[in-house]
Amino acid sequence: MIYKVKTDKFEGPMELLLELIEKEKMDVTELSMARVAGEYLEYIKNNEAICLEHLSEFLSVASRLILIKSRSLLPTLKFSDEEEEEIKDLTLQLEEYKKFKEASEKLGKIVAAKKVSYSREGFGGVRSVFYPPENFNLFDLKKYFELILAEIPIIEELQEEIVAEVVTLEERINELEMKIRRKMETSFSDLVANASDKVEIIISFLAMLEMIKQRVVQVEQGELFSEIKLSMSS
Amino acid sequence: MDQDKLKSIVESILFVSGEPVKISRLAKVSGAARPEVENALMALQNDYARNRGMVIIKKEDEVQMATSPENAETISELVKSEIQENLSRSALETLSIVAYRGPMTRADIEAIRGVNCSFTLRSLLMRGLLERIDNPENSRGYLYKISFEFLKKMGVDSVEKLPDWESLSKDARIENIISE
Repeated sequence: MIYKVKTDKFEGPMELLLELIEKEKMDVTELSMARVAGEYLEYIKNNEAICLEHLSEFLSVASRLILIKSRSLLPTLKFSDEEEEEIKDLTLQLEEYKKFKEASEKLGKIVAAKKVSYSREGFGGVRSVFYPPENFNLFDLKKYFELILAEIPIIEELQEEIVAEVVTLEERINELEMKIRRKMETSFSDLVANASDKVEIIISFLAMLEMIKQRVVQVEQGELFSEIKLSMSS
Repeated sequence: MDQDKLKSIVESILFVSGEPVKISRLAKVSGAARPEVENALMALQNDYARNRGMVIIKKEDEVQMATSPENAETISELVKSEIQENLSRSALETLSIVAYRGPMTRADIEAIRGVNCSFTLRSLLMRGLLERIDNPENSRGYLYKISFEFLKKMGVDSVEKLPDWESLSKDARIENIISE
């Protein structure tokens, strides 16, 4: 059977796995996972769109699918307790994912329908009555204010410096984003070509990591220590 | 428009408004003709006349939803109990913050205390310990300040006369939080 997975980028391995199983109109079971294992591996192999930060998640699921597949082919195969546990976890995880995916679709419809209930502020029309606390004087007021002040941590000089660094990181992120937007594609060495010191290169690297985490950019690195290519996330 | 649907719309508008609403405004908002709105209001009043907790009060050209006079005693008990409980720790904290730092926005009070203060503020307003004034910088927001009555009760006539007001009101720790 020739079956082509739709080419949309899947957010995560669970989404891909569930879609493969549902296309076959099967329930979430070990058997159905064994049947789609091949297509799952095929997808990872052919899909370069899987970004780096997701790849490990896809691979971790792939390894468990291979276990499941091998057991379906060789029923006599004995697994360790740990492996059994991993297979069971994957089934449970997928079942949970399916529940929440379905729930999120329903929630999405509810939100899209924009049927909102409005409440109103409590005791709207009630006129206020002057009712001061008893045995309470100016110095109580001062005492409570000082208690509040005491709870606010004193910011030490050292922390101020850290704050300053964070701002630089943010600035660097914005700067990098501008550069990449202009060029669409660039490399890390290009970005730090004009760096004046090591710290600036390190900050640029941290900025790049942060942007990967925020899914602003995608990176590619052919092999260890080779050039890192950056492009805007689609 | 369907009479029942119009009645339900008018009921929702009156509920969420809380304050008196002009009949002409009801007609405009609901898109129905004025006589239709008046009919819907009458139908609503009839519904409410049957042992319900709400009434529709009509005065000249304005209508308002309010609690049934039959329940006046219970409602005033509820309000009283809300007011007469001792002030909680969070209420006292909020009071002192507003006394030394007010007039200020709810957002700033919450930034200092780190928790939502809407219930506390409401109860302090109801007890007449705080006042709410319009925020000149934001037409939809309010500023909270200590009530003159409460200051008087404590024996001063302005916040500047609170103990150590000069230093406490300008404490850098609070400046740091609010400016963030």
